[in-house]
Amino acid sequence: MNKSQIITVQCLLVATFGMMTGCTTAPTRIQAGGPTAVTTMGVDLADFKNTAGAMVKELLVHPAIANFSQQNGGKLPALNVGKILNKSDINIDMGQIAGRINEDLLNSGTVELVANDAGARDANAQDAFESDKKNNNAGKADFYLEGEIMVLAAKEGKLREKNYTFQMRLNDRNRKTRWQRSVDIGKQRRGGGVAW
Amino acid sequence: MNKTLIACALLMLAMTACRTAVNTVENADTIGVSNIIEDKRVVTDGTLKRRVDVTAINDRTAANGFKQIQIQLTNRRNTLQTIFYTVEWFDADGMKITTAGGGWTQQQFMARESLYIVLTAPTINANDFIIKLVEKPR
Repeated sequence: MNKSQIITVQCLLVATFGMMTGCTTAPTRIQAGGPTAVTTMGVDLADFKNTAGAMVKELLVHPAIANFSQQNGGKLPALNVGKILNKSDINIDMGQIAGRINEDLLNSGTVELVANDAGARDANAQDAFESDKKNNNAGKADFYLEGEIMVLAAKEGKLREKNYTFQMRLNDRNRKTRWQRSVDIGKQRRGGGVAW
Repeated sequence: MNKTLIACALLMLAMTACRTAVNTVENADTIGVSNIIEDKRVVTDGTLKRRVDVTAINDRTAANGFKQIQIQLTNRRNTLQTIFYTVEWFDADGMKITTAGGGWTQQQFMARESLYIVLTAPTINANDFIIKLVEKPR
């Protein structure tokens, strides 16, 4: 091996090493659900945040919520999360959508939330027992946030499309639906990967 | 001959890219009166501004005192555009109000399309807002 060949081999080794190190990057903190976040064909954080935001902006000014206090002597409407059915083909944590809606409604000062956490329920049950009450109205809600998540899939050649529909309803104690909104999220990708 | 064919193919491709432009028809004498508000703009991405622009912002106050704004975004190009936008709200002391929902929203625009986005302030005290627009980072 002459001198120029040795230099060439050394250069190739350095270049290969450089390329290999270039393939790996250190983890970076990003804005969760922001423009740099990964968009999946499933439901990702940005979808949950956008859907919750789209629903809250309407609920905040909907007469059922907005006028409740005025019509009920200053009492804020109590809201409870009912059943949200997942009819899609992926596993979805319903807390991501219902929790965000509840959080923004609660922080807006327009509603009270019925707590369903174990500690609050136990303490309330104990108080009811000690005061010799069969039950109290602590868990009684004025509205129930219920709904379902559906999916539609389509494909054309290598083009894959999934449309998720988040449909939420605000039902009252008289089994009347006071508000309903469907938020559609469409995802499309091209290519023959293993993912749907 | 080959060069002519390639030129024709390229021209056809360019023409198909223009097909998605949006035509609109509306009533000439509009009944609704928008309260267009004055805005202050900081443009750091001139390319984005030339593609998608905030055409107008109007506001109103809901019956329960919550402020609502409507943003008109317009695609100024003859091609599909995709951008992200978000709105941040501030209270009377200029402090940002954090929300669990909302955040950056990806929005696709057809060529020359105008979209109207309605937003509600997260609390009754939220009066000021900032709209942020960005292209998808590459």
